[in-house]
Amino acid sequence: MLKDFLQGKPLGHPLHTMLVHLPIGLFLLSFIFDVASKLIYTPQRSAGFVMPAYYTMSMGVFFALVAAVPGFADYTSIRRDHPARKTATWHMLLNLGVVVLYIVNLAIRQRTHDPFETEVGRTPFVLSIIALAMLSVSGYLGGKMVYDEGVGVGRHRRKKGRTPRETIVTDGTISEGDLGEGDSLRLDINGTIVAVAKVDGTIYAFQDFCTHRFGPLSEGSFEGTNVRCPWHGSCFDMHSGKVVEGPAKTDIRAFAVEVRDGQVRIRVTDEV
Amino acid sequence: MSLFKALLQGKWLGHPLHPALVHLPTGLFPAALLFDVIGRSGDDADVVARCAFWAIAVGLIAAVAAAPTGLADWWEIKSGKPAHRLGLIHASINVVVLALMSTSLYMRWRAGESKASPPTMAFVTNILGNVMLAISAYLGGRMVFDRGVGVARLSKKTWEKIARAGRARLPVE
Repeated sequence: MLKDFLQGKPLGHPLHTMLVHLPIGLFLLSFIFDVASKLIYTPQRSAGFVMPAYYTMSMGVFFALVAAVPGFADYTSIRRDHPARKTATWHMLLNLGVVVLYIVNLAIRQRTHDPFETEVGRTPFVLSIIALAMLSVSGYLGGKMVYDEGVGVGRHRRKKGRTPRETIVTDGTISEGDLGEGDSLRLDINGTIVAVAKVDGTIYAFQDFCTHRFGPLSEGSFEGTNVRCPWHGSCFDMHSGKVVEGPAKTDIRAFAVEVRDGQVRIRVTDEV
Repeated sequence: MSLFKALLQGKWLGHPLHPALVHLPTGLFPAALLFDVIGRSGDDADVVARCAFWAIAVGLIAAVAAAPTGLADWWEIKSGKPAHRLGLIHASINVVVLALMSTSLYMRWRAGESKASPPTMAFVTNILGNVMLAISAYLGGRMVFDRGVGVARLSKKTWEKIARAGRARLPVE
């Protein structure tokens, strides 16, 4: 429940990506004030740019910490073998480094209480540059996760059931108990990547990749006997694999499922 | 022309340029509102006023720079799609946001950039601008996270390779 809230499901949009606008904007503005303090002469500290740089940086740290919480909730939902998992780990580590640097930076600035100091000192200035450079990289990785790897896209449409934690390598047989109502799994059956879902008591197996831009159908949403791709909303019949709604134009592969004695057997044919 | 569009869409960057640029206005306008609120109730009112002034100024510059990149992205969406209409509303509201925030900045500039308390109307336009921004930014987010605008646009080939390796049926070109 808390996780759903942190992931922005009630909002229909992730919380983390929304909150990060604040620290990114504020840290950059803080640096602009740093530069201004060096370029523009002001007779007094109170009328200068040293204090605004400090204020904006403090507010940036505050919102960075707030944004970290839903960010971590998003992180835990990324499939362990998804390419985005690595991107997310780097994104998180870099951001932790950025926040630590800014906290150190603030501590150094706070110790300087000279009312006539109108220019930001060298050490805090250099620290700002380093932190901002790291932030650019981590922000870029954040964008890569959304736009290249599709993290969080269409996630809110999935009302119930667990999405795959990792790809399970199998010969085509799984235990029925592994699949609760509304759950989906991602299987690697001798090299064929298969999505398996249990909807209204029926188990379906079909290719995991959408035929539009190859979005992960195992993370899609289920409506009756249809699966909807989380990325651009292409809809397929899970039984036949036929396209119900575009943008996809090509049918997906659907596989025969046999349930016997608590075992689910998925038959993958050679024909693609 | 197509080269110019590719530049605006962020092909050189490897991901859309518009959502990257909008972090500045979308982050700094709410920050300016917070600074205004803090300035009304606390110490260092002149420092906070200066923070608010420059938050709006830098946000406006970035917003103006972000507009053509957004337009280039919108151009690609087919006119029948829901995201097309969303984009149109998003853009129209953003024009209102720009007008309100510019007014707020102008009033502050007239009164003196770091005057301890900005004029009341500068505060009011800041509030209104932020309300409108919340709506348009939400719509922008919905375009990405609900409609998938820009998603896998540049990584399509990478995913195709992964899908092929996973023995998926691929679209007929």
